[in-house]
Amino acid sequence: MSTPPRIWISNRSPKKGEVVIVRALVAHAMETGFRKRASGELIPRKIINRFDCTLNGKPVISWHLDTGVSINPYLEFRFKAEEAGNLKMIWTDDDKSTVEVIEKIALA
Amino acid sequence: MDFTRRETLIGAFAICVVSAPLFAQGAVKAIIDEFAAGNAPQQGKIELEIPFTADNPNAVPVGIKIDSPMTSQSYCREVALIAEGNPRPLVSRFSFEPGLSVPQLSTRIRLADTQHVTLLAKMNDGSVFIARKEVTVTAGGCGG
Repeated sequence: MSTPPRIWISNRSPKKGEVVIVRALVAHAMETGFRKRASGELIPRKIINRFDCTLNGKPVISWHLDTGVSINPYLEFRFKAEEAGNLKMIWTDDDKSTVEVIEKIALA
Repeated sequence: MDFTRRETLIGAFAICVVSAPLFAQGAVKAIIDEFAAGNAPQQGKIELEIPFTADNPNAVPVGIKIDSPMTSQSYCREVALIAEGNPRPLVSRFSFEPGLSVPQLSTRIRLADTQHVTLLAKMNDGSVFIARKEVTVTAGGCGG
């Protein structure tokens, strides 16, 4: 997970209560553990298994990913902008490493 | 009891046709039963958007929308996305909370083969809703 996630936010200064759309894409091979090398041995599983988004620590969405999620996991989700603050997104790998992005949301 | 060759063939064919879907539903039924926790899944409240034909089975777009007011009295707690023909059918689970969550999202999944994709949604009162769509896949999406 070396390249930073790509984030698009429909409105970074929404009105209070407005529904904001977020698109988040993280670069990851999402190795399923079902594929074999040319030598015949299985390539071990290594996927992002969790994504969490919070606004000022309050939950927006939690995503439990399994092997059926595409390479470079993509999620478009929405939240109600009830308050200004930090929109925090965290991706967690099978190896427990994480990538974190914080986006500032202001209220118009 | 003797069977003619024709009867034997018809019998074998019938067994194949009947048993294939039952077998496929075993693991999926277990996932649905666990998610539903004793509540019979009902129709409605779910919009499941997925193409009839997957041009690229490695990245099939899925759109999900649950009809819920998302207040503390009435909200959608969790959804489960199941690709019935995948080696690991439970592709994703999403959880929501009343307040900030909006139960509408889209993502991309891999489909191993032509199959049904099922979406389950659980509300805070324990009621469970289900939607199911068939997707035709022309090439496998699980590598190999």
